[in-house]
Amino acid sequence: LDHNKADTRFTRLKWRRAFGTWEQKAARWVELIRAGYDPNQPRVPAGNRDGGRWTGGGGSGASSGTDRSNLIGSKPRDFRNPNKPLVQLAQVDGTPPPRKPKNPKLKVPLKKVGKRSRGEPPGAPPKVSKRKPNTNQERNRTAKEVARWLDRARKSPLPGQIRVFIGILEGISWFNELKPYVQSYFDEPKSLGQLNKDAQTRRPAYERHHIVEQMPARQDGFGRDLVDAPENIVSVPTYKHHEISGHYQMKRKKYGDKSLREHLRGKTWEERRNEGLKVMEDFGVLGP
Amino acid sequence: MKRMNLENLTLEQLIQRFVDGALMQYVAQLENDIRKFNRIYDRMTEVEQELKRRGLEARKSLLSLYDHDNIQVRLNAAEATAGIAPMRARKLLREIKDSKDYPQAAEASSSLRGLESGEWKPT
Repeated sequence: LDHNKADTRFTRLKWRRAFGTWEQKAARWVELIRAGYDPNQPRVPAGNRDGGRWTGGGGSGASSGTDRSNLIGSKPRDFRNPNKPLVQLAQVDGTPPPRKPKNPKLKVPLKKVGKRSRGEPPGAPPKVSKRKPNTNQERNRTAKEVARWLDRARKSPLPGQIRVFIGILEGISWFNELKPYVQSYFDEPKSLGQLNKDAQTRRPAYERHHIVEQMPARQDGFGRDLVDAPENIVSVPTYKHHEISGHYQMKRKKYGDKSLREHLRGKTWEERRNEGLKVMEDFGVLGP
Repeated sequence: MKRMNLENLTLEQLIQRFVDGALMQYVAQLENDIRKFNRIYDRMTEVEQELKRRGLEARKSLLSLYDHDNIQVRLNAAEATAGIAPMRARKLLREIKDSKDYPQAAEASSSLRGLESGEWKPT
């Protein structure tokens, strides 16, 4: 038993050390991305006086901000005041530069959980490619991995890693559209009344969920007045909805190697509704 | 995960197949591919049947997976051994539930409720 304890402690130490190295590298990347670093930006060829320096022309990233010829008041960087922005406020024709669309940062609230599970390292963060994945399935899979990892990390004893990881995500443009889906995954459980009320308006990153599953209920003869009644419809975060829908379809030992959906066949409306409410509680959507 | 004749496999190979299946289920769930999840479920049930056929000691080998890094492996191991180590299995299911690491925490909560109400009687 002592050997096991020592082994676990050693594994944790190893993990912390590995994370420390990763954190340093990640922080450097965040710094470079914020400074407008673009690895594809061309350099002056070797042999010239400025050999190796970045050139402004033809670079792929507009964010590099090195082609300053069309900016009023362009001048060399003031190294005594390194925080001074390189990009000026107006262009040649006097119009203000186009505003970037609002891109709210991910906010990951730290979470307190039982002592038993606190302290379990969340493992390495998922890899998020700078190149946009080709399919929706791949994009959603990545975003779900990110949501789950952040959800684990916010309960871990090293919340600093969240800041670093979010910094990396900020530099990945294709991920912006999925941020609301990741953000909604951290919603705290709500009351049934609130979830019903939320379902009255459609919101991005949320889906309408039927407490009693609609298709099997209709197939079993329950009318639309019951199935589509406002009391049966709640608003849940999209990725939670995927998990809950999956839960209804997965085979389980508890139901004799059948799914919950099959298990509920032939049951009364009340039995289905009670089960539906318990499922929402199990997934942390509905408050106790 | 392809169907195969499990009688020829060693105990270690059977346990490895169980782990591989759980890891594949973890990914299938992440990709919302429930058909795949259920296909793997069937293959894993066959592994459990083979372990049952080999006796109690063979089934107890699954207890070694209680410390596995992957939460889906731990969840499946707890559910597969709830009939032979009920107290330990419940303790692990409670830990998974309390971790609030979804969706496995929700599955563990549902299984615990089944055990406590007597709705699920594992053998």
